[in-house]
Amino acid sequence: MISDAAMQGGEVPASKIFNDLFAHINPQVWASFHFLGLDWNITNHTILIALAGLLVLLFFWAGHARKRLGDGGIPRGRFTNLVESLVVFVRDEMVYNIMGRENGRKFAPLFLTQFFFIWMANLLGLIPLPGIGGHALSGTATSSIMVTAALASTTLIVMVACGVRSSGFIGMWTSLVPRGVPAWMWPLMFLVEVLGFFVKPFALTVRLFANMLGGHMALLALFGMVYLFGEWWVYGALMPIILLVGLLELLVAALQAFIFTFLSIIFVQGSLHPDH
Amino acid sequence: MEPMDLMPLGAGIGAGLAVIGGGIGIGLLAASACEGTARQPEAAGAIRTNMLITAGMIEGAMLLAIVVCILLKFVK
Repeated sequence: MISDAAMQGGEVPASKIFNDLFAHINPQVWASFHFLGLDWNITNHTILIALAGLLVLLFFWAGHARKRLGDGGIPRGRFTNLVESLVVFVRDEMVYNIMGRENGRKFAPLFLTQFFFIWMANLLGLIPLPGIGGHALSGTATSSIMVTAALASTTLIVMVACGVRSSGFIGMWTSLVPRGVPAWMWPLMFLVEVLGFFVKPFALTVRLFANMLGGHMALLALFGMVYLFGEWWVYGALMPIILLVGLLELLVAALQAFIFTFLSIIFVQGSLHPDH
Repeated sequence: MEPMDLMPLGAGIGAGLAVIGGGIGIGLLAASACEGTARQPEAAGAIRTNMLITAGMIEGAMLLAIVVCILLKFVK
């Protein structure tokens, strides 16, 4: 470990600090499976996304409104009202505002799922979770580009499906190009618009991934200052900064979930009604 | 010193330059958001929503450049 090398008065090479600290960012493999040339390892990220889904289910199960007789069906209780205020915020301010009530009713579950899953996965990255038997569990699921790519691909699939349903297989691509484009410019505009269609989920992926990865790298770099200085009081001196960056990470966790969901709603609405 | 040894330096300079653009963009955004709120305090909520969304998108573009810089560190 690093502390042993430092205790003996030796110089700790930077690469060792790098590897040890970034165990929080790199996926820690729990079980290794190789199938058809691809690796299907169970890493701590896998367990974290399952945990995030489980916790979201628990959150909603604990907060669903239990109707009581004679109350007129009004939900009572602080936790129920908390869950309801969050759900109503996502459904009314985000989904119904952009998609309208009838379309919004069909797509609200998807966006609610995306919002709460991303928020929970981001928050789990800020909690130091204990590992079992030498395997580490702590980490951020959404700081893996595979996880964010999977989330953005749900948006991509819905975009394509809505486009096909509203304009047909070929019509979806031809309707990307705005009307009134002269015929000689049409092929170029078509290429640009198709590229723009696929760059939107890609930007969703990279935005969430880089925000989560960057935030945690900054926190780890601050923690790593202790190793560089070798004195115990460095950590105490840096504590206010680390605390503030951690609070910023809390804000970024919620904000990135909001932005992801909001942009997904806008993209799906753009696929449903391409003339708007 | 091989040219390829300068890649980490390029990564660092690139990251710094990328953040300049993002910082200026979000600063302009915040300036007009504050001015709009000062002119019409009742619209503060709507302005704040728009500000956060567009700040997220500008940061997304900035982080694309940062990701390229990170990739430079890990390419031999």
